Amino acid sequence: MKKNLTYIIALAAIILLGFLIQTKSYIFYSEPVLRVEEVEANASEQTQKIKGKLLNQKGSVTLETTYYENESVSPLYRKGNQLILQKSDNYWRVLSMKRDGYVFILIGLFILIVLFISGKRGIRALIGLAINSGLLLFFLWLSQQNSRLSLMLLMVVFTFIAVFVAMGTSYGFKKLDGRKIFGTLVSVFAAFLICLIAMNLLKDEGLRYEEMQFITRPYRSVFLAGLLIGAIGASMDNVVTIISALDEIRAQNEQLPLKKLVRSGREIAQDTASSMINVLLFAYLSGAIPSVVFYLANGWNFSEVIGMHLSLEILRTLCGGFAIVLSVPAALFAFSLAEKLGRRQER
Amino acid sequence: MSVLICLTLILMGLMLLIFQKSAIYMITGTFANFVLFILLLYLFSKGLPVYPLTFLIFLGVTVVTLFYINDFNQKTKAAFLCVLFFLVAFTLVTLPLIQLVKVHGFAIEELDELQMMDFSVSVPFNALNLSIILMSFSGAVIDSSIAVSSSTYEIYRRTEKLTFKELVASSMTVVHEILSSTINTLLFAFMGSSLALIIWIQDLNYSFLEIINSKAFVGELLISLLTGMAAVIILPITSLVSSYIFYHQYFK
Repeated sequence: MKKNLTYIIALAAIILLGFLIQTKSYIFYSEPVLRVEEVEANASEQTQKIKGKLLNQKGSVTLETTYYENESVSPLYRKGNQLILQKSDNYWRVLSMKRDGYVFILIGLFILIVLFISGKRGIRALIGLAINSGLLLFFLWLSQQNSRLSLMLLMVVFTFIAVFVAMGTSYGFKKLDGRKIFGTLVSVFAAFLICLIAMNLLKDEGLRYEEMQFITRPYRSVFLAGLLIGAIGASMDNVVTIISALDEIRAQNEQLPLKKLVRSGREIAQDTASSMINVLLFAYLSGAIPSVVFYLANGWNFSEVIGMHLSLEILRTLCGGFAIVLSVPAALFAFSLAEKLGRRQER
Repeated sequence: MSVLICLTLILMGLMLLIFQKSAIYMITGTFANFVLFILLLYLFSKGLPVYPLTFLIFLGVTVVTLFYINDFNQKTKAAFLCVLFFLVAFTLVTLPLIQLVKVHGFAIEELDELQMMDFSVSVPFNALNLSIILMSFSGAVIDSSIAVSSSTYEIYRRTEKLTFKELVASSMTVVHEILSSTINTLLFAFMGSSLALIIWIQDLNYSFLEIINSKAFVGELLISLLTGMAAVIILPITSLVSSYIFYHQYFK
């Protein structure tokens, strides 16, 4: 009961603190922050007229910004919203809505929920998540600083380290299992290579890079790097499940021949593999929903739009699918190899 | 030949080779889910109401994944109940937060490419944002739920004379195992797909305050974290509900 009370207090604290940041953090901003006091939306002229008071400077501001009834570009602002502004040539422009407090609540809730459900194991998972996110940023920073280092090469190195970190934080660095790491790396790189070779041989036919957003570097290399990283998690999950289950069976029956073990491994993987592919399918595809609907509403042809917006996401799913399916032979191979090597050492 | 068709064929071949007969269910089931997703897009474009349609397609995906790809049995029936309950509860709880952050619609950074488009077309961007989130976690929630429900069933079947409390306790150990691997799977998937955005933010030297307020970044973060939360929260729910169902033998 005491534990639950702590969590309830923490929950209340996160939400309170979040709203406090949302309303009061304007003192940290160098750009002017406006509190909206009156909004006049004019749908036919596609503008909204905003009146408000500046919070971290003196004075009040009236400005006009775009507004479409469907809120495609900017939402309809309401009284009490805070906006970050920029002044250029005596003309006020909305840079963005202020969202910092809500981001705090979102992250806080996520951490709290993981801790509530899984306690110490949850802390480990979160630490792994934080280290790997930090590492990714570090490697991307390296590639930004040294244009001679290829992004792809750096992401390959990141893959190796990220697998170590994820395994170490989830299952303990002392108990790092060479078979699981080996199996994961083999299946991730095999999946990636299959996709890369197919893309090269077929000269990217059917892939539509032009709808990739946020491009500051050669788009193909950015996409390939993402393709590799996206496959890591799913394959690691599968490899760990299979090898742990085989260990369990082996512990109960030491005489069981390897062939039968391999069959059990395959059966275990069957249950997890297809639902894992579905996890990736929906996690990747769903982001495209509004763009697809928007293009269709603009009168574009259905199959054209689907090809344009989903081709890269489908390729990501396929690469993940390869990683998941290949993790079965990779895990079985790693398991039996270790067993054979172990026997040889015993002799 | 298109890269996608070529790779799909190779993947199907590999699945048949490794999983033999049951690969047929996996392939057709995954394909059915994909068709459901395309159907969702098509019906949205015909102007059908977003919320009911999203719920309907979500249910369709759940039915296909649980009852077709897996099997129609106690385990999947328990998982189905949990997913259903969770979908309603989670939507009601997170809807206010989604409304507050207002990340629907296009980000400023995307507008340059869209200059040719008519922005005033009738597309309900606000509602579609919820649809993204629900569809994004649909796969993960179903996966988590069936994993816990089948492990709980195995524990119940193999160990006799467990009390309800003991059953829940052993089922919760499975929850802890699954939790970290689920988080990792989603983390790397979202890292991979938002790599372009992260590089963009780094290359254009966004300040910290710019990042945490920008629609593009907060939008990605919202989807990733809500998907993560959903995949995690469903775990103990399924553990409790399925223990209860198996213990009282409701679906026998």
